[in-house]
Amino acid sequence: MQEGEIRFINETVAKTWSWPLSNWKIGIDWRSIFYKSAIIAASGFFLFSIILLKSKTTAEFYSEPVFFSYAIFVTAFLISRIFSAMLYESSMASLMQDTDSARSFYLENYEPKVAFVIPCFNEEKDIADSIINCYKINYPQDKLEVMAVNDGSADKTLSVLKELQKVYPTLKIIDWPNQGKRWAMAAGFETSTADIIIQLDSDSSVDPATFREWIDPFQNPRVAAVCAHGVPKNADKNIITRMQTAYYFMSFRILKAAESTFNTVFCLSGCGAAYRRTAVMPVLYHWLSESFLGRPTTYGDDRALTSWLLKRGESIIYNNKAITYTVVPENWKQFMKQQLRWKKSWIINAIITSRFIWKVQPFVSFFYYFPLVLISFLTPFMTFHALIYTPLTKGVLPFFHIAGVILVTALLVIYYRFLDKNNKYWPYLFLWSLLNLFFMSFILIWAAFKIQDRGWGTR
Amino acid sequence: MHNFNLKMIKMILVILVSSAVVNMVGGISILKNNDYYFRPSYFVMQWDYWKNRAAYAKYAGGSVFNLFSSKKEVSPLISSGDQEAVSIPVLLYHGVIKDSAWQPDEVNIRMEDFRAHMFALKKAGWQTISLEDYSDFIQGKISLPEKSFLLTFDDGRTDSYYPVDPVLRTLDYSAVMFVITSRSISEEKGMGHFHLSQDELEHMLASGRWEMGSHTYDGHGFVPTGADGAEGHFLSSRTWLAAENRLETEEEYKTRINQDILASKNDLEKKLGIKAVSFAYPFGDFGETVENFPESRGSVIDEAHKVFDLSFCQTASGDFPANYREKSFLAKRVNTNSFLSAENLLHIFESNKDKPALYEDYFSKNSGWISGWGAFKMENGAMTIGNSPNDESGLAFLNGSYLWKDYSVFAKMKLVGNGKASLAARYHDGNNYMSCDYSNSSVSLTEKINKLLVSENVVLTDTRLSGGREAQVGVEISGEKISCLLDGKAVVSGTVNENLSKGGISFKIWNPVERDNAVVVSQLKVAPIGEGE
Repeated sequence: MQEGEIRFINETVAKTWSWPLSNWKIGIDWRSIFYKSAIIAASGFFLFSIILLKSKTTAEFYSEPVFFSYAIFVTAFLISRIFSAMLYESSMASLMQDTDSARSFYLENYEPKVAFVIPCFNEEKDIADSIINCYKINYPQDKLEVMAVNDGSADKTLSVLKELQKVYPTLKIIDWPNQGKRWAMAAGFETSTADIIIQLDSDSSVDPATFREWIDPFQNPRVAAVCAHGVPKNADKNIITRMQTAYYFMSFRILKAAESTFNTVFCLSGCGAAYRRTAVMPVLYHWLSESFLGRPTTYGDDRALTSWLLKRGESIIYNNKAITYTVVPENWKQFMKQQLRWKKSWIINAIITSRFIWKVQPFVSFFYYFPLVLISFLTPFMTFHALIYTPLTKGVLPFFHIAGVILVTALLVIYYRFLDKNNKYWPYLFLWSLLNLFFMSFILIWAAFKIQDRGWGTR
Repeated sequence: MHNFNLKMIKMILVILVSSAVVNMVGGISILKNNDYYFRPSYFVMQWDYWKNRAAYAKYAGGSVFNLFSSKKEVSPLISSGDQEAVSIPVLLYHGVIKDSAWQPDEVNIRMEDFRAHMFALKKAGWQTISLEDYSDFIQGKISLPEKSFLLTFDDGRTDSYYPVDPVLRTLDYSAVMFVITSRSISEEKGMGHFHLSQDELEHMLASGRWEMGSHTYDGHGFVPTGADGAEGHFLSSRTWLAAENRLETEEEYKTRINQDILASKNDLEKKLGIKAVSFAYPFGDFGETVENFPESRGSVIDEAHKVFDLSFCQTASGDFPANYREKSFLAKRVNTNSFLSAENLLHIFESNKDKPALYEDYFSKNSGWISGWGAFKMENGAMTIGNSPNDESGLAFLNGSYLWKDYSVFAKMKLVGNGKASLAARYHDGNNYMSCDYSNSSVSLTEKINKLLVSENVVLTDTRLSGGREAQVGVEISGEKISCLLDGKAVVSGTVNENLSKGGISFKIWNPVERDNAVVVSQLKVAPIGEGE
C-alpha cells in the first residue's frame, strides 16, 4: 500500500482525501465528534419528524397508492442522494489510489498541456476577468493555452478581447458569426494540441490557486472529464443571488458529488469542465451533428457532450477542490429565463440519455437516473394535486405538504452544514425549496411546451 | 481495486437506502396506529401538567423549588389526620371546558373553576380513594382517613380527560371515568373526538390514575314514550313501539335494559380487560323521576344490581351530600358546575364531618348548614331560610347530623310572613323526616316518608309567632317517641316512623300562597338523650 493511501470506508468520516499526508489529523478531536453527533441527532430528529408527519397525512397505501408511493419514493430518493454524497470522498480516494495500472499516483508535478476554451457571446463585462484569471495560474506558460471564441457578439466583447491580447500576447481569438456554443467548443477541441481542454463559460473564471487540484484526477487514465465546483461571484448581491448560491453549493457538493461517487456525472456544467481531448475527439462529430425532433439541438451543449462520453463508458467525475467562479442572474426575469433554458435542455437530454444509459450503467440508471426522471415528471402533477386540487375540493390547506417539503429540505441542510460549517447561505436553501415547490416544478411543463424554441437564451 | 470499491459502494448504498425505505414505511404504519404520544392533545397535557405544578406550588404557599421536587412532596399542608371517615362524599364532573368564550351551564365546568375546586380540596387535606376502597368502606370492611373522597367523571368525554389528567398528576389524585361503551370502545381512533377512544381509555388505565365504570352501552339517550312524540330516558321509560302501536311490556323493558347494561359490562371486561363493578345512571336517573312507568324505580336498580356491585346517582336537593355505611348499592354524588364555588364545595365537604349530638350554634358563621332549596342567608348572627318565587318552600339542614339518634333540640326562631316554619328531626333527606311545624295559629307534628305526608297531628294554639316574636321551639326525639315543644312545653307528641331510626335536623319554611316568607333562627342547642348519639 502507498504512503499516501487512505483506508477505505473506515475513513469515510475522514476530513479529506487529498494528499500530502500532513493533512491527516492525529488524536481525537472532541469538538468534531460532538459536532458530528449533533448532526446525526438532528438528522435523526428531522427524519423522525418526516415519518411522523407522513403518518398523519398520507392515506393508507390501499386507498391512495400513487400518492403514498410517491411520497416514500421522493424521500427515499433524496436520502439516497445524501448517502451517495457521503460516499463521494471514499470514491474519490479509491479513484486516486487505483493501482490497477502499474503507475503510482503520487506525482507532485503533474503538468500536462492544458487549453482553456472560452466561448463568448455578448459578455463584455465579465470576459476580462475570465481571461485574466487563466493567466494568473502558477503553471509553465508553454503548457498553457487560452483560446477565446467570439461567437458573433453584438457588443464590445471583441474589442475587450483585442485589448487583452495586447497584455497577453499568447491569447488566441477566434472570431466568427454566431453559430452557437457547441461549435465554439468544438473549435477549441479541433484546433488545440493540449491534452486537457478546459471549457469555461465567458462569465466564469478559474480560481488560480485550485487549478492543479482540478487536473490532478486526469492522472488516472480512466478519468475522461472532471467537473469543477462553481461558486457565484455575486453571491451577496441580493436575495436572489444568495438563494442561488445556496442552491449551487447543494447542487454541486451534494447532488453532483452523489453522481460522481459512481463516476457518472451527468452534466459537466459550463462553469468549469475539464475534458481529456483524446476522450472527446471520437464523439465530437456525433455531438456536433446531433438533432432532436428534426432540429439541431442548440441547448444543453454541455449535457449533450457529457452524455456522449457516458455512452462510451467513460468515467466522469466531480472535483470539489477545483473552484471556479461564475455569475448568477440578479433579477427574477433573467433567473426565470435561465431556469426555463435549463429545464428545456434537461428534458431533451433526459430523453436522449435514457435510450442508452441502461445498457452502459445499469446500476446508476435504475437506482438514480430513471427514478430522477420519473420524479421530475411526476412532481408537477403531485404538486398541483397537493397545492391546488386538494385544497379546492376538500378545503384542506396544504400545510402538511409544505411542512413535509421543509422537513426534507432540513435533512439536506443538515448535511450541507456538515460539509461546510462556514457557508452562511444555508438558510436560503429553504427559500429555494419553497420556490421550487410553488413555481419551478411547473416550469418543467412550460419548458416541455416550448421545447422547439431554440434560441441561445440570453442572460 | 477501484472497481471493487465501486461495487462495495453500490452495495452499501442499496442497503442504506432500502433500510431507509423500510424504516419509513414501517415507521409510518407504526405511528399511524400508535400515535397517542404524538397527538397535540398529549403535548398540551404535558405542558398543562407543569403549569399546574407551578400553580399549585404557588397556591399551597410553597416555594418554587416545590416545582422540581418529587410528587410526594407536593403534598397538602394539612395531613389527612388520624380521624377516620364516617362518610365519604363523591364528586361528579362532566366536561372541563378550556374555551374562555364558553357560557357556563349546569353540567360542565370551566377549567379554572375545576382547578380551583381541586386545589382547594387538596390544600385542605382531601385525598381521593379508589372504587374498591369506597366499596369496602361502605360495606364496613375497612376504614379510611377522614378527608377521603371519590372523584368521578361521566360520559367518557375527551374533555373530561385531557384537561383533567394534568391536575390529577399534580395533586396525586385518582378518578373514575364512567364510559358509554358503544361510543368509546371499538370506535374509530383519532383526534378531535367528543368521546374517548378505546386507545385513549387503555392509556388512561395504564397511567394508574384512572378507573373505569359503565355508563350503559348506548343508554344515555331518549326513547319515544308515546305516539305523540313524547320522549323519556332510555333506562327508566317504557319505549313506545311504533310498529306495534303500544308501549313495551314490563318484561320487554326489563330485557332491553338488562341487555344494554350487560353489553356495557362485556365491553369493559372483554375489550379493556378490567373488572367492571360499578355503574352510573345516565342523567342520574334511577327511576325516581318517573315518566310513564312508576315501577321502573325498582327495576332500574334491580337490573343494574344484577350486573354490578355498586351504582352511582346524583344527590337530590336536600340530600346529605356524603355516603354513609348503609344502603350499599346506591351511592350519591355531588354534582358540580361553574356555579359552585370552591369555597362552597369545601364547605360542603368539611361540614360532612360527623357532629356530636351535643351541639350549639349561634350562627355567627356557617358551621355546616347546607341549603337544600329556596333562599338561604347567614348573617347578623342568624340563619334565614326563605321561600322564593320559584319554590313554595325553603329548607336547610345541618350536615354532619345524619347519624344522630336520640336528642333534644332547642332553637330560638322567628317567623317572617304567614307560612309554616318547621324544625325537622331524624331528617334523612328532603322527603324523609319527622317535623314540628309552627304557624301563627298551630303546632303540628308531621311525618314525611318518600315525599308523602304519612301523618299530621295538628294542635291549634296561639303561638304568637305573628308580628315577628322570637319564640323558643324544640323537638325531643328518643327511640320511637317524639314531642314538639313551644316555649319549653311539649305541645304535641307522637310516634316516630320505623323507617326513621336516625337522622339529623333541618329548618324549613313553607307557604304555598305567599313568597318572601322566612324562618329566622338565631340560636340552637342540641343535647343527646340517653348514652350518646
